[in-house]
Amino acid sequence: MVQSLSLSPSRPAAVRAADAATRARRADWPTVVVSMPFMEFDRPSIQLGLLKTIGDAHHFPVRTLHANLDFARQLGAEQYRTLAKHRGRMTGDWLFSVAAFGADAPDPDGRLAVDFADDLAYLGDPDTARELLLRLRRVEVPSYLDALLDGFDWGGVRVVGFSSTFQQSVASFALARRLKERHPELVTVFGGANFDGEMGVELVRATDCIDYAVVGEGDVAFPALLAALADGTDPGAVPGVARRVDGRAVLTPPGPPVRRLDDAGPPDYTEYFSRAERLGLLDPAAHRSTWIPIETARGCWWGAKHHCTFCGLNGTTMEFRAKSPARVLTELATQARRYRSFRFEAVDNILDMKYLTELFPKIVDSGADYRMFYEIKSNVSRDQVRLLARGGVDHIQPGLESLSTRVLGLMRKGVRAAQNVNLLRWSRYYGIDVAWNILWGFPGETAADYAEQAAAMPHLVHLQPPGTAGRIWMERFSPLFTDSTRNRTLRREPETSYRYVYPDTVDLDKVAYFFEYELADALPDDTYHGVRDAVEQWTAAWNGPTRPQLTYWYAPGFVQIYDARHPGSEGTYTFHDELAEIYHACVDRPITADGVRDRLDRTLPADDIRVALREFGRRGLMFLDGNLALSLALPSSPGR
Amino acid sequence: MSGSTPDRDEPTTRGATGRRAGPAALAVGLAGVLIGGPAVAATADDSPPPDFVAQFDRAFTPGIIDQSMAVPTIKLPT
Repeated sequence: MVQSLSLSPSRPAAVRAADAATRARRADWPTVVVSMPFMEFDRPSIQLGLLKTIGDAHHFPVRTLHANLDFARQLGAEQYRTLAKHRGRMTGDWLFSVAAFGADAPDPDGRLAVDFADDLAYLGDPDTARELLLRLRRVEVPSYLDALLDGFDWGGVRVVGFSSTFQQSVASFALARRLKERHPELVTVFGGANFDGEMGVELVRATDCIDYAVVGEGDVAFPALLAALADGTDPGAVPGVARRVDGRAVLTPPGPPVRRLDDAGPPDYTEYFSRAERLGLLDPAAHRSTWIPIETARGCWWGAKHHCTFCGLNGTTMEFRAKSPARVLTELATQARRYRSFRFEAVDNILDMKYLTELFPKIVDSGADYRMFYEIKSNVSRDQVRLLARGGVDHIQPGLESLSTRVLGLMRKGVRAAQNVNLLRWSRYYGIDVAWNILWGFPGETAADYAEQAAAMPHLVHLQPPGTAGRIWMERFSPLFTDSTRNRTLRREPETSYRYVYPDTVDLDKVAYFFEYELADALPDDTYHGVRDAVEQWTAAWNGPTRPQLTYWYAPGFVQIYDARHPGSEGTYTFHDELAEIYHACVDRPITADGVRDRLDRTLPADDIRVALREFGRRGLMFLDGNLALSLALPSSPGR
Repeated sequence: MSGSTPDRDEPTTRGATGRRAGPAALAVGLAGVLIGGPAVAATADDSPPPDFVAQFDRAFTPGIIDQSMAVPTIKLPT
């Protein structure tokens, strides 16, 4: 199959038709879009890459500045990564708080390090952590900002855009403030997930270095705002833009979400790679191993129907939209060739199921050597996992969250525990790394839900363990946040460390994304100790010198299962005739006793099969989930 | 979008019952119709239950086996 290897930035008809005068006017509005700390520096920002592509398509000269790279270079990669990956407290924002808010910053002396000593233990003991954080804030941050001001050519720049997700807002305010002091004519535009909903409106009201904020998706609003600025029309009339009017923030109603993702060209990451190489953070080798962000879909098709109770993603734009498979195929080829990397990280919240029939078979057929990350829903079949693996997906985040069907129902996950376990099985078999967590704290759960999970976990140690286990966070936009009556919320307030970052003139109820809370029916912490301990043991077993295994060999009427999950207890189970066939019938996916009976040509009564399933479960060879049974062993033959 | 249809999002018990359409089950079903249905099913259901529990008790043989035989490889066929 011959396919095009290039994608040109697509221009809407109105832009294509722009006359020479319009183009000349827009050419006179050089724009820089900036990504500040603490965005991870190992990969380019898809927000910046996309804004550049869109800006270029509208004839605006847009540059991207991955300023997070400079701070990583200054602090050293490891220290930067440490600060970027711990998001429980607002430490990254706190570091830039004085630079952003001056004397209004609430914690000049570093009480943060002392008051949250347990959470900041990764920085050392409280005194060490405080000393480090104060040095970073008082010495490293000012010199970093000065270097950005002096080291980048801001001459002639008319607009500076800041994209903010996680802890990028306050660093962005700090740079914007200094830029405004030095170049008062500059127009600042903010956007990103931190500006969604009322968060953006309140930040505009309270932060004078923000001229405009795009609230919601920027694909249409950002170039429209630039056009208004260039054309001299009212920027405040652009849908989805917030600005200050007489000390109040005013937001225009947002436009509809972008529905045709194919319309924009692929993100332009050129300046990320050149800057990272110039700073010595990337080796300018011929072959790169950088994960290239790719967006193939937005929103969540599951969340649009059944919003998972804890999920705060897709604040105001849950509607699911996906690029066409043909477009994705072409974009992968274009970006691999352009950036000399075969690794792609999909930023999608959920895999479009049609890609399983219309995209991945074509990737397999193409022979492309991609490696990819995707977030998926966990109810995929063995064949689908195999297809993903053959298509290059070697990392997934399936949102498993629990091994209790009852708890999964409470969180509206739409899957059963046996399906989650089955995904872990086939992911291990086909060589896919699974990022997942155990969550607890859902209204309506019982101690038994966790006792059952703790009891099952020792049988699962041959499968990838959860990365973490803990109580759910309350995120803005999640049903846990919005439906306080149903959840019987007794208390809800912004996560405490916001108070150490923002001046008291900022309404944290409107700005915070993470909240602390108390529910009327919450179970005590010790309810979860059994699961927590079982996860620790599971993780230790998985990371031990010999990886646990549970492997089966099958021939008609004969099964042997080698059980090496627990050192010192290794051994082989041998089953003949009906038991062998029953075990084999439950290998591919969770199945009922009646289903097993059908597979065995109804030669056994279902009640007898249930007896067998119970025994397999009792011996840890099957995972039993209500009326479903799932064999836990993996095939001995590779890759079938 | 196929992923958003309710069927696809339901637990896979539907897949299990879907097996009823397989050739063997269909043959039994046809035979049941021809011979009188319930009688065929009753024959199967009335067979004495196998002593599964005793078989389980005899099933396990302790010992470590040759690791090269036992480790499932993750390599896919080329």
